[in-house]
Amino acid sequence: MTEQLQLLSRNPLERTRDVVTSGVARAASLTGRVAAAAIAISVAFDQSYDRTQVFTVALAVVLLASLVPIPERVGAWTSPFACALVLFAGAMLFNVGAGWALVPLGAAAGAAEAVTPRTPSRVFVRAIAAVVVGCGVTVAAVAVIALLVEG
Amino acid sequence: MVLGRMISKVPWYVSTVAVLATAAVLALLVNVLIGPYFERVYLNEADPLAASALEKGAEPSGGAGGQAAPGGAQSGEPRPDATRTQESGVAATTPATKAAGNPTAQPTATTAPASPAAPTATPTAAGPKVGVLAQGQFRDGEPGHNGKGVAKLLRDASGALVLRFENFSVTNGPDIFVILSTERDASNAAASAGLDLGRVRATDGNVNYAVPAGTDPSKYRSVIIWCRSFKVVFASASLEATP
Repeated sequence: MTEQLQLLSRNPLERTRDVVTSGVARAASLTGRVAAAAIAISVAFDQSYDRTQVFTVALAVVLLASLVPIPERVGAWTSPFACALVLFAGAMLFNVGAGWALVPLGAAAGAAEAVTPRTPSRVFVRAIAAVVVGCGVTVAAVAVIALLVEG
Repeated sequence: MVLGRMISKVPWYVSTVAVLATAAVLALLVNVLIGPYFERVYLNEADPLAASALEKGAEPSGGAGGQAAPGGAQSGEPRPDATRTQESGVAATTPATKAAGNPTAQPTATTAPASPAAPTATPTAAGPKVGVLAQGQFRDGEPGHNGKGVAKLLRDASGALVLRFENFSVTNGPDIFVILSTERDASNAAASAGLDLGRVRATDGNVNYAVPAGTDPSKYRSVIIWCRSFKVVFASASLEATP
């Protein structure tokens, strides 16, 4: 009984980490971002609206850049941010071609990032930072595209 | 660092709910407020004047109408964009289709393609003149909001007033309307005081908007594409009366 209560009081992310290996979690995050980049490119080809094309190509470039191996200290912050970017880009392009598929991909990749073994005490700080920065960058990118690209 | 220490003291179930709720709310806001900017709706409606000419041409005694018929037939070839009527594929969620329930924004014709050679205004013996009463070129609105194409205020053979957009394209938005204004220069004040013809039904193409019966067309000097929620002019066209 006591063991069960202790188990329930543990963070589910920590419990998931016991089950999911680091390699699997990282692979899921990478796969999600690669698939999201592919969908972004397909939306760019499918749509003729200049602003959509610029945004989706820029998104794909950022996602592919996030796959480049970098020191863990930096990567621990940039990878969740890339996943958040996928989520918010999906929310924005939800009604445009296959853009809706970015939402589940972003959520899945973000969950994979959350269970990737890193500094456990800062997982929620990284998650909140990723959500806020991901949303802010998405909105800022749209504002810049609206001012620079006619449409 | 301080924030990190504060968050690390919060129970995991509170932090998790906070992160998920923040993400969900922000995603919803992004979808509702910014998503429409990327949605495009193509529509290619017939020119009411060309349709009238075609009807006349079909009559055995049609003189001038008989000449108009071949021209109408040539223009009957579908435009390339006519086959791609809804790029976003989301009829139920676009501003354009929301207007379907708006009685002031019903299409006047939807079957025949547009004709580039519509008849000009011709006075009739007993009533107001039929044809293009005024027209103007669309120009960009506030920064980041673009519009192009031609706006025509016309009266068809049945006497109905129609505002027609040709080769039209405008930046999409969450809550944009077509406004006929008595002011020559587009502004929020002019738009809010103008005659509302309903939501923008298509971001691209050739589109007709019915003008309510009894409207005096000579009063109106501009067309404004206006976002009601955020009070932003997306595009406007000054109307010049045709001779």
